[in-house]
Amino acid sequence: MLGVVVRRVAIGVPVIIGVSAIIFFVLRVLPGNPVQVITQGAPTTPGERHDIIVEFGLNKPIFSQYLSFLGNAVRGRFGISFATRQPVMGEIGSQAMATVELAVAAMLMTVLLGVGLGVVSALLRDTWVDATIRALSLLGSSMPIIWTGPLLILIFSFTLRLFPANGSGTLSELVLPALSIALVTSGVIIRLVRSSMLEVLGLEFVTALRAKGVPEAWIWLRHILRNALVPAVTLLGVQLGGLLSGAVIAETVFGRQGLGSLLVNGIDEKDYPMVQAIVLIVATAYVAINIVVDVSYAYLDPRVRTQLAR
Amino acid sequence: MPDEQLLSVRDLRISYRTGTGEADLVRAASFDVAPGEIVCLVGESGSGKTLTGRAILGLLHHNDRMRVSGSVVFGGRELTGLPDRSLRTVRGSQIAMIFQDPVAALDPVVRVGEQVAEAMARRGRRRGRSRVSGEIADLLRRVGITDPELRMRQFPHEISGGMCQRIGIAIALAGDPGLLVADEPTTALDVTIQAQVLDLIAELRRERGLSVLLITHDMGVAARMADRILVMYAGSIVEEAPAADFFVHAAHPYGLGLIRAVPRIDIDRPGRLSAIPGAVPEARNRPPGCAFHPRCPVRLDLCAEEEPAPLRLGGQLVACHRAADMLTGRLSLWDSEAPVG
Ligand code: SF4
Repeated sequence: MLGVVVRRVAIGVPVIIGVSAIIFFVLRVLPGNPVQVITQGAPTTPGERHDIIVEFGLNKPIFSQYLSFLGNAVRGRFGISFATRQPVMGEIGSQAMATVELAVAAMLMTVLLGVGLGVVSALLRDTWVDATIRALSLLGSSMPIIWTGPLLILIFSFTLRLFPANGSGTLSELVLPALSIALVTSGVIIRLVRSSMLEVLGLEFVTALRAKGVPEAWIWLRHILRNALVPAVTLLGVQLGGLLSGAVIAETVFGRQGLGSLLVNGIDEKDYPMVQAIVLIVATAYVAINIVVDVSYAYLDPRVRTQLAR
Repeated sequence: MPDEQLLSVRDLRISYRTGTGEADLVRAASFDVAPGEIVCLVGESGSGKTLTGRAILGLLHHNDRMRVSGSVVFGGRELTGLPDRSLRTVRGSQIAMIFQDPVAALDPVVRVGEQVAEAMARRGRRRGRSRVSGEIADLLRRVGITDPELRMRQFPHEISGGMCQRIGIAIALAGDPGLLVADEPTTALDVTIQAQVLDLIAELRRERGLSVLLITHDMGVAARMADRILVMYAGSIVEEAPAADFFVHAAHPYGLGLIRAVPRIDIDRPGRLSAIPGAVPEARNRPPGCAFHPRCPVRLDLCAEEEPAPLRLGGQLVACHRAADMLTGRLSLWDSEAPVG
């Protein structure tokens, strides 16, 4: 098991370095002048501008800028925000929890909706219930959050008055943004859980379980679902990217605090250190969570465990 | 004397709904299994043997496209038409089953011990955990598994096929059934392991008075195990005979063909293996008259027109227009034919 983790980390490190390079250079290719952000648009003399450029190291060759950014990032130092002149990590630290909350809530809802509706769909296969769930799951995963977000607000806060439309902090404010993300990410999970359960249903061991008199409910929950979860967990790992980008968008749509709004502002303001830090942290989290997914995959499927032990 | 029988199957009919209509997979099969008897159901694959075995346990209910009719009486109780709930009390504890692919018959992601425990858990007995695992270990030891405590903690893929079949047998025995339906239990195993598993089944019959319906295409297995033989072809039982009679003078050309198809080192030369030419027809393309007639070396014109009715000849029950000729030895099969293959 340790071997898997080591191997995954070995693959993850170049991925993160690649991401850092892309974000670093793309930011600098985009139009806009960071010096204006730093000076907050106040009139400056060429001398002052030169001082700023030197202070933030923007005069050095771009590759050496990149290397020093990378070197500092490894030590957890992401520099000073152009906009606030405060260390970016401080601001990220104060906002990160809101995003983590949202991502975790969205993940839980994805699992709940995906597995729950997938099981119902498989149990009631080829009925109108199944058809409805499948149609909705397809609809959900093809609608953008920019569209479903306002729709949810319209239904659940303006009409039904169940949950607040925006804000962050309380649990009830978490429901709608998390749901708007989960609607997108759970669709494929629903369909995968359904189809893999039906696939497992046709396997010989299900007949063998019936032949030994095991109750049908137990067969479905303990055996068929358990087997069907193996591919679903892999897919969940793949969906993580969607989950994270969903969180960024949902924060903007629902006016929540968090890394998403911080990132969007950072891009607007050409706040290089802020954007780089957030992107790098999210990429690292993505890689780390994928390692966790891989390990739980091995836990779910003992055959994989045996392979890895070799 | 149906009340002496442990299992009585009458007029079992299994049909399958296809896009264009219904096809009979098993047609009016009737047979009995007595207590402590080993009955072998033989025939090539595709003849309906496996379906017959599964229908006895009501396992075809779960396929909406299958229709089963007729009567299956076990221990005096009619099983056909019982709801799944009641069938569950029969499955495992009265009739148990073992499968052709022992590894596929186990859930790959659940530990072996738990899968055995599931088969024991019935009948509302409440026991401590350690008691149960002690019982499981005893059961595994009984079917010849060494180091049962280790095996219980393993997963099916960590265990050899032969061992998995022993576990399959342990699962089948867990409910202390009267009848074991064994569907090609040794086909997937190595020859030496085959013999061990067959010995185990024979031993259990002797010790517990277990009845066995052994489904096999392997006439060697049938010769070794059977008290009685049922020959199935294209969904019909075409011959029923005590094993001793059958292997000396099979009365149905198909039954005789099966015996001849067993490779014998003493007389067979390469390329002279007398497998029956042709293949079992699909249910939708069942030939009229005797279903075997396109492949039968001694067919008459009558055979293509009229389906032969079962005829009792001594201890044998045969559905063939020429059964009497076969028994009196006036017909010889295949020997006169050109070598096949
Ligand atoms: S009935 Fe005719 S065709 Fe059928 S097995 Fe007998 S002889 Fe052959």
